[in-house]
Amino acid sequence: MSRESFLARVRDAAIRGRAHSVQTNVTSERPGCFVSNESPIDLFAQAATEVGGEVFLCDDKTALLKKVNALLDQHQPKSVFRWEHELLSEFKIPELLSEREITQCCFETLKDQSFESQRTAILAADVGITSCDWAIAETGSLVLCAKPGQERLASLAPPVHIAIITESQILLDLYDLFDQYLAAEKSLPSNLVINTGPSKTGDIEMKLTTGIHGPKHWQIVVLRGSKDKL
Amino acid sequence: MRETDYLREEHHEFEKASRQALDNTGLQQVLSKLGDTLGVQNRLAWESFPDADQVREKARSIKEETLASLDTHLEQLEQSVEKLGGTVHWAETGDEACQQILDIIRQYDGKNVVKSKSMTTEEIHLNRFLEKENIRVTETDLGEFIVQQVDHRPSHIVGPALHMSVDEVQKILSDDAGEPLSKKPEELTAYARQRLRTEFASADIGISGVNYAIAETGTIVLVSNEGNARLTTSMPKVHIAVMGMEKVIPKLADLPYFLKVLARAATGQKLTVYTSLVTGKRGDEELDGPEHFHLVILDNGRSKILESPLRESLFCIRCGACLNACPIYRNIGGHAYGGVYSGPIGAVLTPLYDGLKENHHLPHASSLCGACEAACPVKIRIPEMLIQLRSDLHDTQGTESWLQRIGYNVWARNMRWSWAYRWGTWFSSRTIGRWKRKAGWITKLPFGLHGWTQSRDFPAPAPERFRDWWHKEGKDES
Repeated sequence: MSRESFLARVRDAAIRGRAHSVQTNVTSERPGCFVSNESPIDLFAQAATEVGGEVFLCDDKTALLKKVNALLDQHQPKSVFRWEHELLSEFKIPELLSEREITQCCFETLKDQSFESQRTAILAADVGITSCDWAIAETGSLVLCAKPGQERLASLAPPVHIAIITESQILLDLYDLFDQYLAAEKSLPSNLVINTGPSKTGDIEMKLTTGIHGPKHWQIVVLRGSKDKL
Repeated sequence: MRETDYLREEHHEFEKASRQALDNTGLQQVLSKLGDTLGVQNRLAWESFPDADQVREKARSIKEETLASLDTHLEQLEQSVEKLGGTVHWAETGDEACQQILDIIRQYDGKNVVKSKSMTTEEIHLNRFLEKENIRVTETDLGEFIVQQVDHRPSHIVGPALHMSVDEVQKILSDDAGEPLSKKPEELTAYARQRLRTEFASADIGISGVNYAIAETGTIVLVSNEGNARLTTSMPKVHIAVMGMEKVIPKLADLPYFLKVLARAATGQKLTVYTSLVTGKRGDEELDGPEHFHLVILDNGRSKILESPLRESLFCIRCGACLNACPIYRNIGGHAYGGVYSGPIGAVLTPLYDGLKENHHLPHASSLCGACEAACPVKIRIPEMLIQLRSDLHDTQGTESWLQRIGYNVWARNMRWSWAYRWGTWFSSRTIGRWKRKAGWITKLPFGLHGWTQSRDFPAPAPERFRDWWHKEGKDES
């Protein structure tokens, strides 16, 4: 079947189909847009908790590092798969992991390895540490974009995902995310995921269990304000 | 003759299969929970979501605009995908799509395929085709993986193994493990995680469906709660996405409207756990993601529907909300419908894809209560479409017996002449109406009409006509 005859048939059908078009009545712009008097950070924390995440709000860098240390104590990872992200560098997360003698798997350590040894290292990681590109208050979501240093599998393969983010990354509504993109440029990253909670399934008698393919623990450490106040 | 195995085979025996489903106590137990869980969550989601109706209306209007010039949007999608280094394949039929997918797999010397959940690949029976060609195919959605082990057909659009009890799942996964597993869903899930990780690690090809394809950017949108769609599009070197051609939407800005209604309709979540926007293959220097991207665009009868009065059925975003809302589905489950798509939307789609005459029971498998339309995120007028199909069926040669024709003729005349109608109601209330005054129901109709009362009772006429009652009493109150 050639492309031309495929499209020609669709064209004819689409034109004939217009005789049966349906009437719609759209009266508002951005319908269902989330509005609230509460602050986005509190809304985010509430929504992310509702979907099965744990959110920790920290007032300053010291509190944030204390929390990250506590989470590492909780999971006792041998190996961490982390992003290379300016926030993580800012908070000296690579240094923290070295101090704790945790094996680090990241862009720098992986890039010159063979496909197979990359796979082995990634699948062996016990914890994934990322930041995010944006977060969404209404739904309690993290928006994660793929690029070198921001691997897709860091938030997905390990059984624990810890995200370290700042309040200034939180958008109010899903529409804002799309407006940000449209306002800026029209090229999307090769992969963008809107991640709302730990991996879940209800496939066994509709009983909800977590951690089926992705992380079972979804923990988000949020610094109040922006990193500039540091 | 061999009995049809409804769990495994597609069929045209709606009545027989439904009766079997009604007698299956295990299935009935599972189905009885559906209304109180997913059904209620859908209703609550619409109630608690401000402006829900307007978002649904907007999503509907985008679908309408897209279909009106579907060919241009598909062409733009093709251009965008090719600009990103991907390849587009056009498939008129399911067989053609299967062959194209096989050719792509062979091109990369692929042997192990991991699949994330896709109704379109169910529709074209891709797994069976690939397995015949000695390709190893593993479904990675937990429900799909479970049904694949015992060769069942998925019984629900979003919950493929919904028809199974935890005991059955435990047995299936234990057989797969070669050792007895516990009955705790957490432990069964943990086993599946490990088991499927080994498949992901060795897979060279990942096949996914498509929830939305954005023409403007060449982006494929995939939603999943489990994360298997992300693994499928992150680990193997080749990603093949298969879409029904109606899945295209024009612009990136159109997407949030659909995202806002899809998960709410399906499970009552605000968003699915993972909403992935996959735009082409991995970028330069990126360490994960596919190195090659192929998009298969499927017609398989859709252009016939596009030009028909039932084109609105192409709005469907496969959320499964109409199944959960439907009193018929909640009694007979998915397998009884016979086709790949079940429930109210299946009762529309299956006759359109597979033939109306063969599936003549399906348009009647509805009480036309309208719960499906109320639940639908894009407000598809399913009851109206079922009535249209019933009418088409009436016009189809050879689907009506001579007795039916005479019956309808007598009825039509009776309704046209008011004296005949008046005499008819007077006569029936004086006779049957008075004989059956106490029971109110007729349990067995005579002669050729007894078929009607085989599975339900017929309401007896009232002992007194409404018009007589009105003359006596009602008049004084007005």
